[in-house]
Amino acid sequence: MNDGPAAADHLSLDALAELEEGIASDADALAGHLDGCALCRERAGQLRASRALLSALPPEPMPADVAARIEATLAAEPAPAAAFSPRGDIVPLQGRRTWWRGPNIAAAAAGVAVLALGAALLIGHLGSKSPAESAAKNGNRPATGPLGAAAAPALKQWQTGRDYNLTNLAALATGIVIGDPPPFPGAQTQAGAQPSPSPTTRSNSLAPASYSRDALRDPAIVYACAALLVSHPVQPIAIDYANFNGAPADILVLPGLSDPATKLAVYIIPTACSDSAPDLVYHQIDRPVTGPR
Amino acid sequence: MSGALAELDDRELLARHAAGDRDAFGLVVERHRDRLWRVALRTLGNPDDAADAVQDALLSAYRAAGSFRGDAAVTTWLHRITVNACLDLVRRKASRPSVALDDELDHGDDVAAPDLLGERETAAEILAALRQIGPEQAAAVVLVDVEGFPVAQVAEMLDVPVGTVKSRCARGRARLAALLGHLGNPPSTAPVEPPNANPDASSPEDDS
Repeated sequence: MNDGPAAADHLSLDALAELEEGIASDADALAGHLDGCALCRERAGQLRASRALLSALPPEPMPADVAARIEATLAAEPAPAAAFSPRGDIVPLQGRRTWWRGPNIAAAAAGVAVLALGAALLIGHLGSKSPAESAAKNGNRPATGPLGAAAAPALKQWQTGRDYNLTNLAALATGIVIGDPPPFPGAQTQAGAQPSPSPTTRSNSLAPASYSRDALRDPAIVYACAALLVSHPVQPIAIDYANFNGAPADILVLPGLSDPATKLAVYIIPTACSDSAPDLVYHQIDRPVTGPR
Repeated sequence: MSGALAELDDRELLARHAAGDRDAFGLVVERHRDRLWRVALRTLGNPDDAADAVQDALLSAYRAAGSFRGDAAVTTWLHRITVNACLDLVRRKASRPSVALDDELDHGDDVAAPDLLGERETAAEILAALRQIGPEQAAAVVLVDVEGFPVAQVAEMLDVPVGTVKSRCARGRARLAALLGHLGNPPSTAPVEPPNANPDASSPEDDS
């Protein structure tokens, strides 16, 4: 910002503020000038006066309505879980797909086949209609995915609408893993239903390239999406239909890729569940010590 | 709130909270909310945004309390989360169509004692000026000059080097001095003139 008509030899407010803060690069020269210049001393006074205004700002208690709103919001939160450590490490996006090309993960190739099988089953099940449309039609359709393991905990579906970002991601993602979601609007029941795998459909070509974000309202599609992302069938842990950096996005939490026992893989899906979606964000965080129950 | 809890310090309360005590976090909130509110309000210059930011921040803190590291002061930690929530909110809003922010300058009690009117107007004008200098500089100036935190602690709160805090303070103060120069010596008689003021109070407040 321009501080006005200061001649080259007078000190700008910026220079005066830096001098006062002890970070001016040519402090001696500035101080020397200040000593002999009434105009600059007046400006320094202006600086001090505005600081005095700031420090004299009246105390401002949080308005009661805001305090009440926050209290209500916190009261609606799931009870805190025992100590966990949501500090995670960010994995560069570009590198996120390289792990399964590693030498010790030849089995991943088999996983892809299984994935294709699972996806094919789903697609066969859904036919050519949009998944959401089919889901609406089949009210009681299976809610579990390709794994279909009865022992596996149900997918937690959330619709918090919260705004995730890389700062709060670990904390919020941990929250949807630990907490128990309220009944999901229009969700299919999570209990019991199993897909009926018929191991006859074995065509990679049926594996879809992506699922739209809308489709992810359907737990079965969430399973398929999870399998697509990690290239093998995997039990998704939680999904939150929310926002990321202010824009709608689904937050999908899966077991950690490198170490499912201690890590969680968090995928942020702004547009579509596709392993080639350019806006897909992957973040690995620590699994809560208590684990999902 | 139980009397026993009230005697615990913040750190112990967070530990209780992380262990599942549902009352512990409320006490932490009670102790810190006014200051977090002030910091958010003055960093953002807008009560509605400040309310959202503090709520986001306290939710994050609620959920992350288990990961609170004992080597950070609870105050520092909460301020860091709050300032981050403020900056996030500004970034989020920046990516949306702009909305009028200035309807709430008189937020709060409508009736003030006559002798406080000047003070309130000055406060409103300072708020408008803080909004103009942007949240990063505003946060630094507010934490150092208004709240009186040491620069080193503010550096921790903002997660930047001490030198960065100092330069943000210096630049922020210079800009504030330029914006508030007319308030300097005589008691304020200048009308409040917030930037981008929207005289049409009935205009839509939000984009949704």
